[in-house]
Amino acid sequence: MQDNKTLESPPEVQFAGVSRWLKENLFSSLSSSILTVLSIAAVVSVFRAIIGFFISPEREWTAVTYNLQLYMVQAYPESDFIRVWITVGLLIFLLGLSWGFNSLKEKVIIKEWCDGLLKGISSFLFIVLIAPTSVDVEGTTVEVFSNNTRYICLAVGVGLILTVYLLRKTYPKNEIVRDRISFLYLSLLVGSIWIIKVPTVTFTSSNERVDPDPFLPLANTTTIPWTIIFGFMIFAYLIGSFLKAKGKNSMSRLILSSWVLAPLVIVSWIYRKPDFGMSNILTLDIPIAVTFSILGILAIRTLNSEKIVPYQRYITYGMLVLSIVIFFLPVLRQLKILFFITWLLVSVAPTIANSKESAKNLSIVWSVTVFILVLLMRGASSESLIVVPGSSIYGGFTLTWLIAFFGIAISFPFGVILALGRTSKLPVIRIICTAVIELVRSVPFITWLFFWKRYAHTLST
Amino acid sequence: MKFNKAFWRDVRFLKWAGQIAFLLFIFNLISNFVSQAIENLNATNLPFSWRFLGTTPGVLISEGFVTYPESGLQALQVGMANMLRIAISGIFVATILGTVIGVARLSKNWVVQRSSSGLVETVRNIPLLVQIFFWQAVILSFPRPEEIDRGEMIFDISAKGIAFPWLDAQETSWLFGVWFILSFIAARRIFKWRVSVMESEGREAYPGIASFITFIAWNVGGWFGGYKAVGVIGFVASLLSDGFELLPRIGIQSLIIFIGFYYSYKYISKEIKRTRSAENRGILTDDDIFKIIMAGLLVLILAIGLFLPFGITISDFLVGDEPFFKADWGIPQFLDGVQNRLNWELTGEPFTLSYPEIIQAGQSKFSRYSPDVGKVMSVGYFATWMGVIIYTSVFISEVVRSGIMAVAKGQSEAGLSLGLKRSTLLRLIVLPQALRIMLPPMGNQYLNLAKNTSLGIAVAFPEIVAVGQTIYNQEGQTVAVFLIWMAFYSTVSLVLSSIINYYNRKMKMVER
Amino acid sequence: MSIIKSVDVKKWYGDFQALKGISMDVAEGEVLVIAGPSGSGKSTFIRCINRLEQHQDGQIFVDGIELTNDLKNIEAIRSEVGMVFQSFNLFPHLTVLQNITLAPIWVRKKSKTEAEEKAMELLERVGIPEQADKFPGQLSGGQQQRVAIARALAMEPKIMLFDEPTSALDPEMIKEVLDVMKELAKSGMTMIVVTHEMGFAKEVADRVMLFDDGQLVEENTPEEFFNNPKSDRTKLFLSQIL
Ligand SMILES: Nc1ncnc2c1ncn2[C@@H]1O[C@H](COP(=O)(O)OP(=O)(O)OP(=O)(O)O)[C@@H](O)[C@H]1O
Ligand SMILES: [Mg+2]
Repeated sequence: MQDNKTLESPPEVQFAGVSRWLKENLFSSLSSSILTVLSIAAVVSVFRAIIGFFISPEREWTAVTYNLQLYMVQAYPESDFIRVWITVGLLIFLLGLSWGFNSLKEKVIIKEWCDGLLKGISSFLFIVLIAPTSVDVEGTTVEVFSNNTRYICLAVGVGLILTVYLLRKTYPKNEIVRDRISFLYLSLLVGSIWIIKVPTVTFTSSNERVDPDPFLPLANTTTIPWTIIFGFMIFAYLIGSFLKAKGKNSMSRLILSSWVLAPLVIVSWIYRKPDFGMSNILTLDIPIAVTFSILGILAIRTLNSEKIVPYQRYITYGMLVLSIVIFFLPVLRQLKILFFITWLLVSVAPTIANSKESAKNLSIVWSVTVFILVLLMRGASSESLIVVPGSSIYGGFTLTWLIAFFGIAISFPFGVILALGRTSKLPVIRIICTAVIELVRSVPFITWLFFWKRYAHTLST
Repeated sequence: MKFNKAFWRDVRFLKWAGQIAFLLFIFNLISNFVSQAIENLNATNLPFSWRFLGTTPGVLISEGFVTYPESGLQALQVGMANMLRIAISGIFVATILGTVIGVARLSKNWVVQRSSSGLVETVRNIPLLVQIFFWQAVILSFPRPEEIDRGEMIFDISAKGIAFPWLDAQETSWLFGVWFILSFIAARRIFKWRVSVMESEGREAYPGIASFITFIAWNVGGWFGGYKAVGVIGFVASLLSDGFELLPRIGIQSLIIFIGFYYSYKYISKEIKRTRSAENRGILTDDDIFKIIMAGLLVLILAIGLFLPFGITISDFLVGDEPFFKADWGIPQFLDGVQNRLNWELTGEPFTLSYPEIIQAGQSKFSRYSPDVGKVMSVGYFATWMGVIIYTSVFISEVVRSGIMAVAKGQSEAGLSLGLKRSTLLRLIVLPQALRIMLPPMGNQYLNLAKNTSLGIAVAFPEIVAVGQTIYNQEGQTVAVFLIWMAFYSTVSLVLSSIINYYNRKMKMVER
Repeated sequence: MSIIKSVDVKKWYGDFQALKGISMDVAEGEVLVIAGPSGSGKSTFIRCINRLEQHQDGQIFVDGIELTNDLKNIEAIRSEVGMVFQSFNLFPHLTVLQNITLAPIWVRKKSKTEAEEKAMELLERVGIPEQADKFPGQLSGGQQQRVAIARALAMEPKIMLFDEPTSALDPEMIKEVLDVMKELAKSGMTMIVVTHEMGFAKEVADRVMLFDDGQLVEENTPEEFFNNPKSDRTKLFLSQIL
């Protein structure tokens, strides 16, 4: 009995596995075979056409590399680029920290990793094989991908395949942490920016463009910062892993709040280079912050004392009315916002700070928040020292992610409110929300873009 | 309805007070917005008006049924027609293409399945705008049209667009067009009849072949004069148009008000009857009261509004008297148009075939396709059309795929175990169930396609947004143009979603 | 003469072998019950008989025709072999009557009236003629399974396959389905029934088989199977299930 149970593998796998696979998946019937041939032909010709289209000299890719800076930060002055790098570094540092902290340290079997690599390299080989040698540029044939290059690429590809295959054979069962693989890829990427040479737009001393564009290495102003930032990332990753290993779970909240804070700090302080004036901070901001943090701490203390408890509600309402009134008074913007968040504090403090311990924690959080808010507002409301042609210091890719970040942050709560409104039992609210939703979504986005642009224009004239 | 003594603590009071306060707040907000805008507009010496709809804008529209529009309205109509051209043809092609891709992704053939999934993953992760630019670059990379005179051509691609033969509409094309639409109904009837024969008599009755033959025969007959039967519609239109000319403005106003009152009365009595039913025990909820009040209020507003200036111009417009802007465009004019186009006295072939040709135009004699013969798909049209179709079809393929996959595997197994053929299984078991799942997301995709045509503005395709922008840059009537955009797109999406809803309901009823 | 014959049938899912060489045959009019622990390959085997699954090695003959990749053979065999599933698999968008008449009309090319008459007859036989115009979603589980049996019978099959027809049902409903099956067995239908209902096996089966780990472990008459099993595996199985 036991003997019969020995695993027998499928008969096909024992011999001619490949032909069986081909038969089942490509040529199972006449129509299937025709489809296979046709779609291979289609894929190859479409790929050839697309590759030819993209590597044709008509595409002028140097225009992209030449203007890369413009794409990234538009007109941000080069003298202040350190601020851009600090921004990138800060974000990547946070990325590394969160990564190290939250990583599951998943392990990958080397065999599987190699299988993935093999697939990738095969796709590369496929593209190299079918890439057209020359393309048609306004009636003349131009060589874009010489056969020599093709042979070199093929040799490299085949060499890589052999290496990976050997690796796969030698360590079939060993495992490796997935993060290490990612770092391997990243360091290959960072290493490559020191080695590669790209066609670069250059001018002679008489200001004539050198033709053809010579292959030059990347500028130090690109390679050095990225290398340093990569170093930071590894460092942050290690810190994150360390904290995780120490079981400092409270760190997760800190990291999360850093993510919320980072864009605000970037927008108000780093990117703008505010002309804040130390005296403003010392004579105005610090006193305001101190006052409010003391006020808040007092509020936290007293609100839960027995005598006050019956009046909690009235204090909250009073605070709300007060902050609305102050909002319409001609006072410092800082004060308006601080009064509002004081109202928030007053309304949540009774439930949150119900023990000595939590009252203490809330007091600390409150003071820190007040200080950060005051400083952020100082940065945001000061004159910017960066001078750019045009209207905004944010441009290019910077603007993209800023809009994306704040867009998500603002539209999410707004969307939730609308969704709740649409399902409300109160007919007026339901109808208004439904109308807003349907009207906005039935009209193309671009018309809204024009609409708000023209509306802002109308208001400003 | 009895209130407590302390009515301010009564939930019902609070609810309605809150809602009314909210309503006032919204009104206040909107009127602030609007009045601010109007004030500023007045300050710029360009007060809001619709007059530009009647005056000649003096702009050139690069393509459309008219290129030098006589009025602002006509210019916008050209834009709308261009948008609809792309949207309607796009919906058809994207549906077919999307279905093919979706089925290909379910294929057992490795190459087919992999290449279609690759296509889907690539296309849907690239912004549509980029794709439209890509298609524009593709067509611009073709050489310019050759200067040598090549005479008639069948098909040609150049940096100026794609030229191909076209059926040019003649006088009788409208008659034939209606006849053609009727042919589908006839073919469908025949199909159903043959199926019922097949089911009741248990013999092969060839429904597909029979309906196809009907379709062909019907249209061949129509081509050689059968279309004249459609002239009946034109005749009816002429009678109606005569009737309308006799109708004074007060007539149409009373008619509208009467219809409004009738329906609101029907609605209210239906609501009250419903609440009197056994399960509601005559209790009117807030919602019911609100609905009833709204129904009554709306007709009142309608009745009063019809005698206010705006209502009067609309009624004028409806009786074709003196439209509120100078344009030859009212119901009687529409009926006259129908009468002239569907006139049975017209004769001749409905369409003639013409081939594209390259001509030398302009003072410097540059070559381009002749606008009079054949058909040219312009660069802008091609880029927008391709972009929108490929992009949408990829999303549709996902809808199709998930729809088919959502039909449980057990369903096909049960069908197969009964000995059904695969095609029958697909038609009778899988598709009817899959379609029901697919319909709502499909409608969403159609809506997206219709909206995405507005990106044509990026490649200078003159659809409604582009034309509107040209107009308001010239006339300064931004608000008016925005209102027209909103009205147009809302109408399009309303029509689309009611079609989808209709089918959705129809399919639902089959189930229970 | 045996109506179903299988010779050393093997079946793999990827690298996993689900059937490890099953040889057996079923005579016309015989009622065969297949029992066995979960995952032992019972479903896989009877699904191979009407080729809802494809075996990779060995041979299966149904009514003298060998199951190969030939589509004509497969369709011919499927219309001779009715199948009833654990999860009913009724067509939810069709009425009970349409469910039953669909295959006779489209496969057997019967006229609608004829098919409907036959369907009403079958509904009568399974005891729910009054449900003819309802949709499956409006029926109880037991009623649905009886409709499924009627649907399979409407094709006038020579063989009926049942894959755990009662295991998705509440105890009260099990009886109504089993009664229909017993009646069917008495009428002389060839049946292969995968089930855990040992009462049914004792009462109507001509033969009982035990599957374990893709193999046919025991094949016996019901009396012998329950009272005097040959293999230890059967004893273990019976001790667990009874
Ligand atoms: N489609 C499939 N892919 C991979 N493995 C499968 C598939 N279908 C079944 N198997 C495996 O084959 C084995 C036999 O499955 P089968 O459904 O025949 O068991 P069974 O005896 O019917 O069990 P049960 O009593 O639980 O229904 C199981 O181990 C199952 O995991
Ligand atoms: Mg099973």
